[in-house]
Amino acid sequence: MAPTPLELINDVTAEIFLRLPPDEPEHLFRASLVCKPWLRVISDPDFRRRYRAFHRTPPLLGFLQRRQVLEGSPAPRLTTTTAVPPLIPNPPFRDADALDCHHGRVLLRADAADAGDGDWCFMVWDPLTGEKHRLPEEDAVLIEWLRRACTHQRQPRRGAFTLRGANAIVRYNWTNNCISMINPPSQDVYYIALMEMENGALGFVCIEGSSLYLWSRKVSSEAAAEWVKCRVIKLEGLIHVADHDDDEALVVGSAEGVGIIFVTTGAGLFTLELKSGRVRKVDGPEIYFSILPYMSFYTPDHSTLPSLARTH
Amino acid sequence: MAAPESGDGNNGAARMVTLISSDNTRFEVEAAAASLSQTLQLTILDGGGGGGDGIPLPNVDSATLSKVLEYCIKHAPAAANGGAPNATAVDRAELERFDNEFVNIDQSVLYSLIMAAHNLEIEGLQSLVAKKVADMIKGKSPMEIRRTLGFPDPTPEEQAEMNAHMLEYGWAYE
Repeated sequence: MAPTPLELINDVTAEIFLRLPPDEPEHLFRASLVCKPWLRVISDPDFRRRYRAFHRTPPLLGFLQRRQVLEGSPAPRLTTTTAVPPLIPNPPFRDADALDCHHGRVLLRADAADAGDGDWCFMVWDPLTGEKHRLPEEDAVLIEWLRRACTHQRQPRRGAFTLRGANAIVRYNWTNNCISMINPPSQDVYYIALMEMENGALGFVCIEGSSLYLWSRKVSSEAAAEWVKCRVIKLEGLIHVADHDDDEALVVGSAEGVGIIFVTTGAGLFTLELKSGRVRKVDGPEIYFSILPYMSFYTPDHSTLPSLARTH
Repeated sequence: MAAPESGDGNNGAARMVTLISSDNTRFEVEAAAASLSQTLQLTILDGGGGGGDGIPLPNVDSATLSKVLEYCIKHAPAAANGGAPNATAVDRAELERFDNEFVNIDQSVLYSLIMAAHNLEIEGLQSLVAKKVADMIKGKSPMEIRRTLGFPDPTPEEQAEMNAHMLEYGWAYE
C-alpha cells in the first residue's frame, strides 16, 4: 500500500522543505499552512537551523540605501525585492542614516531625540519586526571612527573597503592589524563594488562604456597579485537607460554570496544576477549612491507566525 | 566508500548480493550498486547478502525496490569514482537526463521511493525525490498543495483554519 503524504515521516518531509528556495520565503509559509504536522516540522528550531546550514548564504530580501553627505541620506527604509509580510510602519526616526546592514539588522546613526539623550547614538534595527536597540557608548566610538575613515562600499568578509570619492581599495588584515592599499584594475571609475568570487578571491565590479566588467584578484604569492578580467556583460538591451543622451549605468552595490549586482540608470534601480544574467527592476529613478543589501533568512517561527504563537 | 568491485565486468565477475523485498521477491544485484545504500553497505562489507542468504528488507515492497535498484545501478559507476570528479560532461548530462525521467512518475511511487531512500540511507535518491516534491509544492496555495499531493479533503475545522491563516498571511499569496 503506497503511503499518503500525511504518512511521510517528519524527517522525510523536512528533506522536502529544505529544498524550497529561501529567496522566495512565501513557499515555506504556504507549506506551513497545509496541515498541522507540516507546520510543526517547519516551525521547529532544529529545522530552521538545518535550513540555514543547507542554503548557507542568506537570500536577498530587499535593500536600504545611503548617499553622500551633500546628496542628503533618505530616511532609513527597507525596500523589499521579494514577497515578505507588510512591514512594520517606519519607526519615528527624526534624523537617522542607515550605515550598514548585516544578519538582517540595520546599523543606524540616529539623532539624540530618537535615542532619548546625548547628541547622537548608534542603533541596531530589525526592519521586519521593528525591534531596535541602542548600542553601548564604547561600541559607538569605534563605529564613528570607522564611519569617518571610510566607506561607501565594503566587502567585510575579506576585510576590503573602497574609499568614499576615491578610486582605491583599502584592505584591513584582522590577524596582524595592518592596513594596505590595493590598486583597482580600472583607474577612472568611481562607481564600483567589491564582492567575493566563488573561489574566495576578491572580486571587483564596474561599468565602463555600456559593459559591466568583473575582475578577480589572483594572488599567486605574497608579493605577486594581479587582477584578471573574468567576465564582460554587455548591458545594451539588458538594462533600460533613460532617453536622454547623458544617462549612464552605474554600479551602486553588490549582495555578497548570492552574486547580485545593483545597477542604477536614469530609468531606475536594477538587480543583475551574475549567474543567470537575469535583470529585475527593483525601484524607480532616484539618486542612488550606495545600496545596502538586506539579506536574511525569513522562515516561519513563533515571531513570524503570530497565530502559531497563539495556538501552540 | 563503495566496495572495491568496479563492476565493469572486465576483471572477472563482480560480486553479487541478494536483496529480499517485503513481499518476498529476490533481487540479485551487484554489491557496488547496493552499497549506495549506507544501511546496506555495512552488511555487505561484513560479507552479508551473498550466497543463498539474501538481505531481507521488510519495509520495502518489490515494486519500490526494483525502482530503487534501477537508480542504484545507474549511479553506481559514478559513485565508485568518489562522486565522479573526473566524469565527463557527457556522463553528467546523461545522469541528469536519467534523473529527470526517473522522477517523472506517479506520486504514490514518489512517496514510497523517498521513504525507501530515507530508510536505506541513499542520499542521492532522497535528495532527487525531495527536490521533485518541493518543485510540486512551489507556487501553490495550501489548498492546491493538498490537492496536488493527494491529501484527504480537509475537515470543516481544518478548512476554516486554513482560510483564517490565508487572511493573516495575505502577503504570501500575492
